[in-house]
Amino acid sequence: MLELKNISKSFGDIVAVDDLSLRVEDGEFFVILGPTGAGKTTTLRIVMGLEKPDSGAVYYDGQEITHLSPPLRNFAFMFESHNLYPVLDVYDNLAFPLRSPLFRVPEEEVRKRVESIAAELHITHLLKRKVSHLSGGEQQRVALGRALIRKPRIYILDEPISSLDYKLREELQTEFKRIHEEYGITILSATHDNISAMAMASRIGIMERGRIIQVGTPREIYIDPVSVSVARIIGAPSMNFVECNLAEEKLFVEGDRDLPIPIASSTFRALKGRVGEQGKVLVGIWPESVLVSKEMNEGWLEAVVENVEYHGAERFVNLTLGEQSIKALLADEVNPQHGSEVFVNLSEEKLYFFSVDTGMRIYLK
Amino acid sequence: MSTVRLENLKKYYGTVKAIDGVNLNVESRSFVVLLGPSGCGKTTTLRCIAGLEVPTDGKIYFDDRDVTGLSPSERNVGMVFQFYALYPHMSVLENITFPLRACRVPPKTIEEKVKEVVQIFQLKDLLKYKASILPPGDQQRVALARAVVRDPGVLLLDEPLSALDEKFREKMRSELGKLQKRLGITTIYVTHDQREAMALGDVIVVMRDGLILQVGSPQELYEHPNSIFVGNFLGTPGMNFVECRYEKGSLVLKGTSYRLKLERQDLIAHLVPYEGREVIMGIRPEYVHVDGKLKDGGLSLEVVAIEPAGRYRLIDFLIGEKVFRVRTDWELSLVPGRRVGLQMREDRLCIFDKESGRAVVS
Repeated sequence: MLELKNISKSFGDIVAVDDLSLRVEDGEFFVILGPTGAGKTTTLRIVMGLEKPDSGAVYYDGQEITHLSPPLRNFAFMFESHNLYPVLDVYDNLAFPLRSPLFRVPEEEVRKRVESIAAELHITHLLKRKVSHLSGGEQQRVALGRALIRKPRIYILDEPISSLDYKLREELQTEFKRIHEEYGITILSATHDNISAMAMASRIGIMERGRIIQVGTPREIYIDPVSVSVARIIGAPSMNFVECNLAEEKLFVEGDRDLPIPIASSTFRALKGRVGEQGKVLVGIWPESVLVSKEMNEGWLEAVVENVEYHGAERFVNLTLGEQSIKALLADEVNPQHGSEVFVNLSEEKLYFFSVDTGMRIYLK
Repeated sequence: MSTVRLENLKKYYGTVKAIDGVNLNVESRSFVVLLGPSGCGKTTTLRCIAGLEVPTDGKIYFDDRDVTGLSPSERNVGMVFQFYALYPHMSVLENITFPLRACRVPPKTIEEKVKEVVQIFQLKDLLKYKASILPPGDQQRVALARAVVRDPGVLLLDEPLSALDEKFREKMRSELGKLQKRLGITTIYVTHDQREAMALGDVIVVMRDGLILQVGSPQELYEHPNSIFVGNFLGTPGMNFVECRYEKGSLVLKGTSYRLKLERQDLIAHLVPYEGREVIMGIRPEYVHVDGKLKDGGLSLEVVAIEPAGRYRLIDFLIGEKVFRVRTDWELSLVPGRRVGLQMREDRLCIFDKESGRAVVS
């Protein structure tokens, strides 16, 4: 088990990591998800031993390793730019970590392990090729092979696939997941790509401005985001946010038109007590929870169609609700045109409430 | 707004055939996406339309006017590239007005045009800043504003969003789609990202090796791919492909004992020449139903892996050596190792020729 306790790290005035604590269990695929500049890479570099934290400690299996040099930690790294040796062929690149004076693996054993890892990653046909002659995806597989070959205690991946073509990314993300499950290895990864994070992770830690703000399984975070920034970074497409006002026992969509979202009076009172004088609240709803119809029903709101986005298995429509934009998943039978009028249902039990001041979730129960 | 027509367009670099006979009609006000892997010829096609490349052969028409020999500035096109190519030392305002000043548009008209695009792209607060200090997303908005400010007949975009962060790209993609519908400019857009192509395009043109493979609406291409390549390239994830043997009205899935008895007469009719031979069956992950109960004679497989994707999950199974993926909601409790029943929707089956990869029925 890897454990980070109260880690802080600044570079001059810039706080990169701010009192961060984190636990990665054995066999877990833990992904740190956050925007560029959140401190993800610095955190990984501290785990690897490439940076010293200003305060706090790193433990592995209960033993403190904060000041242990990187090779002695026996962690494997894989970066976005994979640092393969371009002049060597694939075989020698894979064999490189085993030939390190630290391990002194006999050549016969090296050959066996190179061949077995190459077969596993479907790169046997490339063994004699120079790395510089390979495609991006092939290079990424070699880099993965080189990380896997020396059986390290933890694999640390920094944006391992985000620079690749989309289709290739999808393929490698499945491959990472398969290898993780087959080998039962522990992986700590960082990325800004919420789709691959959701697909690969056993657990996700959402990172923002040097802090981990929520940890959970992909599903847990999706159904229960603790703040606006968490809800913004997960899910494709993102959650809708609608600025609303509480008045006259109702929840009004902000704007110059009268668009009340029906809510129970108990909800109204509970919200009113939590949002302060101005009565402003940020309402979140997933696009799949917004119902769209051409017919007016009781409590449904009028909206104007901007355009329809086709996503393959499903279609989404961009709508203007009052003066705000929202996106909705379309049912098969609905086929709205640009500029046409439709009605939407924002059902109370599907709504997430957030504070406009802090961005934190307002829990009513 | 202009229509665009390409007639047998070719561009060779020495012996390399970047595009090798492309024919295409782009309707006025439509949003057409050229989609394909790197090296397919999509960017070369766009550069020929822009006038940045001289085609080796073939003709380009804007509204029935032959523009093949015209320079870029004579074509009245607006262009935006992956890297925004703004003038870094100029302010946002100067960047936007530059194309108008270069064409000696009267100051009064410039003022009106600027007012209009500033409102559309919400640039009011940015006008006085130097372009180089803006974040990437803002720079790209400025580049778009500059491209549309002089009312181009055609807007040409080459991977304009690919340098942006994932989340921001999703947002800009929606913005761009809404904007194109509002402005109604004929737009040709190049990308390798099929999600962008599907979300934005009225028409998608799938290219490979300098040729057009298939043209159609996102839905047509998604539901009825004309080849294994298109079926795999479109969709997140792509279509599943399973090797089968066709025997007397049934598909026998290779690596299983499962026989899928076909009911659809059109499928059976098309498969007559394939009696006793191998074909490739294609089915999208969302058209397979997962059932907790196993049925006699039904297909049952063991769950290999589960990938959550927010509101749904992708479940990986293995048929023979190949991954078979199914998209489901969160109702059924699934864990790796559990055996479940699978039913494929026959109305959504595609059949491909094993040798050519072309669709037999789709």
